[in-house]
Amino acid sequence: MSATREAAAAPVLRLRGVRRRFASGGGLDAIDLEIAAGEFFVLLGPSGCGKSTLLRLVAGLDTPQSGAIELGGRALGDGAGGRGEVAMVFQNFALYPHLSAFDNIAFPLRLRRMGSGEIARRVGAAAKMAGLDLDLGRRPHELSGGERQRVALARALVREPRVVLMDEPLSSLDPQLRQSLRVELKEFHRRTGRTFLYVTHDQTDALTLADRLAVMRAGRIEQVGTPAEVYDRPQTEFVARFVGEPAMNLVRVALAPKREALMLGDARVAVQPPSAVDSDVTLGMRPSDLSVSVSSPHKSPACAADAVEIPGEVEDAEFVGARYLVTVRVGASLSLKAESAERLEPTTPVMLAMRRARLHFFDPASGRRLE
Amino acid sequence: MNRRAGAGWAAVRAAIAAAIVLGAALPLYLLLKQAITPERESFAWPPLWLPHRIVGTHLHAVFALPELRGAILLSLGIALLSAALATALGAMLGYAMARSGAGRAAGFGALTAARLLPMIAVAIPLAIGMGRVGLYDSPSGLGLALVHSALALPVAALMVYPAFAALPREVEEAAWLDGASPARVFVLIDLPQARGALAGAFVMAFILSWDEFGYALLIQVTHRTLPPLLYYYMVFGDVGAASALALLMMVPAVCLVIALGPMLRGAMAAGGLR
Repeated sequence: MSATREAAAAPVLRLRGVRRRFASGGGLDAIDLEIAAGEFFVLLGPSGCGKSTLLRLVAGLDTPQSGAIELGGRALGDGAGGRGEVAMVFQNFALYPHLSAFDNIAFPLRLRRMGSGEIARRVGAAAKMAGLDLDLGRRPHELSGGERQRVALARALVREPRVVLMDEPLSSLDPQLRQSLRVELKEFHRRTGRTFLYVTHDQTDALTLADRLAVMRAGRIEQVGTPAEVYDRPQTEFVARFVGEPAMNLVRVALAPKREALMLGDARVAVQPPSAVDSDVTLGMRPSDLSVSVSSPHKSPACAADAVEIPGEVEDAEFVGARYLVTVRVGASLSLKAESAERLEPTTPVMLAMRRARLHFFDPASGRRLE
Repeated sequence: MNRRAGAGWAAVRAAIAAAIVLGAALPLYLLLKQAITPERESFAWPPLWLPHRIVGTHLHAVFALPELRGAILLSLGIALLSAALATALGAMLGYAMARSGAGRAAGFGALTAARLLPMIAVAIPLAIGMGRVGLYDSPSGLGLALVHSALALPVAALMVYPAFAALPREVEEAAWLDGASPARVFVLIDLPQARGALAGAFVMAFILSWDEFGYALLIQVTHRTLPPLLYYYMVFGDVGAASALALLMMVPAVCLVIALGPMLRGAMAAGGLR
């Protein structure tokens, strides 16, 4: 973490108070962001959150209504500025359909009136870097999805931009290909050492690819941090719900009269709430942090000192591959999701256990994290 | 069951297609017959459907005509020039219509308005205006070529407009980010992708000019193009020679369609894939 903070001292890309609103509603508000050289930075958010708008502003395809974007220390929109310094990989790759793979990659070089020997050399190098191992005389419609992606990467790379922008380049591919290209993309970033700014709505993309990510919602940035920071300490309820699969349990709970416990429906959970809370609090628990054990009436299960326990009853167990996702009813009106290695029958009484340190608290009014 | 219904439909479609082809081919057949048979056979009653005696006299007469060579060259020059102009300008107009709401409104408005004026009301002032700038009855046919390109422009624009509208914008944005100016994006990226539609527009504009009679009659009074020449034959009653000339006139159009055929088909296939 400290390493990325230090690198951020000399950001390659800096956005200050950037605003771009559309008449139709969406857009961006007051975006401040700094991206360090060589970083793989991901913008994560649901559709319509403004992440693609942000990418288009950095590309120069759109201009902000207010605020400033600096690329390598120079303001965007000053003369020729940004265009030569950024390259973009589009969602559908936007290859030139009438040109061969070679001519697609060579296009930016030809515009710069480079000699044909130099072009051949640089296209070859970029193709190799992008892992393109095919006859470059083929047209885009003769290539597979993965090959198109690699041609698009090579085209973006060939003119050696400061920043490579990517607009959901994996979203139109089938899951298997997506998985392998994700690995390839990370590898590609390592090899090139360039700054990547990557937009996605897919949290798996974001968590696996990013050095740092920004979670966006409705035109604002909710949280910036490393994948671990965002996953382990979500700063808002929205981030908590959006990042993590299966989604975090978020329940509104009341304080017990003397503040010594929380009331989960009828269940009393011995947890000291954060001091800022006076009546209600939103409690967050990741299903993967909750362990399920079948409770027996005879012995109370050994309870670690730093753990909380919640009694409940199995409502449903859904097979999700390696594990079951169990829905546990707690009290009359509340149910929680938990992960279990074994299949549990409905109506089985169970005990949910979780480490205290893994609990998340949010202010029900503002949605901000409470410590 | 479904398959059966499908086969039934296919048969109906084939029958309709055959009727259309037959309807289009019948006049061509009669034209051919008139061009190669003695005139008596053309006016015979009851009509003769099959040629009885084949003669080359009509074609001979046409080729012996002193004006023919000049008229062919003039018609060809005018048609090529006007088709090139109409396609080039139509491509730009069609692109503007595809890419901007204002362009679309202006484009459709202007194209419709231009069609509202009766030809004769335009032709006479036009002929006078041409006289003032020295383009009236010019040996080069430049004046008529300009008129024909103006006539073909709406057709060309309307033919290329959907092709441009179907092009994804991201590809243009990618080219712009790669360093191309908007003009270069248009020339290097958009035009090649729309080449099928452009070829179609060129063929339509060519044929429109090649066939055009009214303005040609009024503007090229002594330096005649082929349609007025054909008309004089008809007036003088030489149906066989007129038919032979008409047959001859079909040749360049057919050649053009054959030459540009792969492109036209390519455009259709690309449209289907998208």
